[in-house]
Amino acid sequence: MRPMLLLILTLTILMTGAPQVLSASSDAPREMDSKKEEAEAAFKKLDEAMSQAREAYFEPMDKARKEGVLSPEEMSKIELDPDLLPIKVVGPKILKAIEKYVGTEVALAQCSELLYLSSREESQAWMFDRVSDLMITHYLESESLKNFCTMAHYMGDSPANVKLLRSIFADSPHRDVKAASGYALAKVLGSSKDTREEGLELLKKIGSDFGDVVYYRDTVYGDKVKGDLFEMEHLQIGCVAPEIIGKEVFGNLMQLSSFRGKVVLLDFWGDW
Amino acid sequence: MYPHERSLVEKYPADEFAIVGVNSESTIEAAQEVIKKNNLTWMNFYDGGTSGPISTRWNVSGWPTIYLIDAQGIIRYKDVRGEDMDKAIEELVAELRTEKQKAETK
Repeated sequence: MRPMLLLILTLTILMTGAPQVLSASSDAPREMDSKKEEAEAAFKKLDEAMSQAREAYFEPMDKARKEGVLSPEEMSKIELDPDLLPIKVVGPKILKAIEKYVGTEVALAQCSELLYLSSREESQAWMFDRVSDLMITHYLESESLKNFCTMAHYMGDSPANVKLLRSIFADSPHRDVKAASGYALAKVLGSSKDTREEGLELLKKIGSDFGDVVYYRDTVYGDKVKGDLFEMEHLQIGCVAPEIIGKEVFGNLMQLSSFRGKVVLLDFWGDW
Repeated sequence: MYPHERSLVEKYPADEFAIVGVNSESTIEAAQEVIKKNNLTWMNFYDGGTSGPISTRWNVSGWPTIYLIDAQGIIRYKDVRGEDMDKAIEELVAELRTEKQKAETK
């Protein structure tokens, strides 16, 4: 009984007395911790709501799949209810939670997710605007912005995306975030006619100023930019296909140009 | 993809159309095995992984990536899939046949 009693006593002191003594120095971080936990719990619930919404949205496809094997063409003809779009159903709730927990890392991760989803739906452009404004106001200092930046060039050339990337590139204190945002901005600008020149200039600048920063695994921005510039110059429709000389899978030497005179389907592939 | 590709190789005579693969399996044994297992009859460069020299030079970041090259060696289509790819090949082969006919009648 005695050790038990001691334990309870200690716990009581810890739970009632101690926080008051410590409060002067650790109130703020403690509050942050509980806010962080609360935010994590809230977003976890919303993640679940999102998966349920996805299931509901794709139900007609699942049903068809269960009834029989359909070709991809047939599958793409199945109509889905636009009112059940997960971003439409759950998106506004996630946005509300982001506004409530703005400043936390977990809310930033949700921002990226929402931006990605809303960039795919024209009707949700308003949400992209709202979320990107929140990111500019609250997260320009965050190093985790890199996660968003590495996907940002898949999110289109909307004015909101360009504005967000410009802000990050100009104001981020982190070199790797600057590299990632600048690269994404260059790709986005390069993809539309009016800003192609600016995109190309910026791309070259990223290659020279941030060439040593890691892009992905063992590739640095210097190599990535070199590849992009080669593609722009030599791999466009209308270009003569660059020569490939090498060994084929069973060890024989072969070259692409020896197929001249035939139509060639050049297929970069792997069985994974 | 394999059955579709095989049907293309069977559809056109070998002097009009060819598939040239660039395989990015991480080992050459794996590449040989997948080719034997799926009975692929066309030639494949071996690139030694996804960051191999050919994929790097061609700036490939997603697999499969597809280029359609005409009989003159000009890149004519990038990343066409499914029915669009079939139509594009049909168009380029028809072009080649017209060119050949012209050359013969001269």
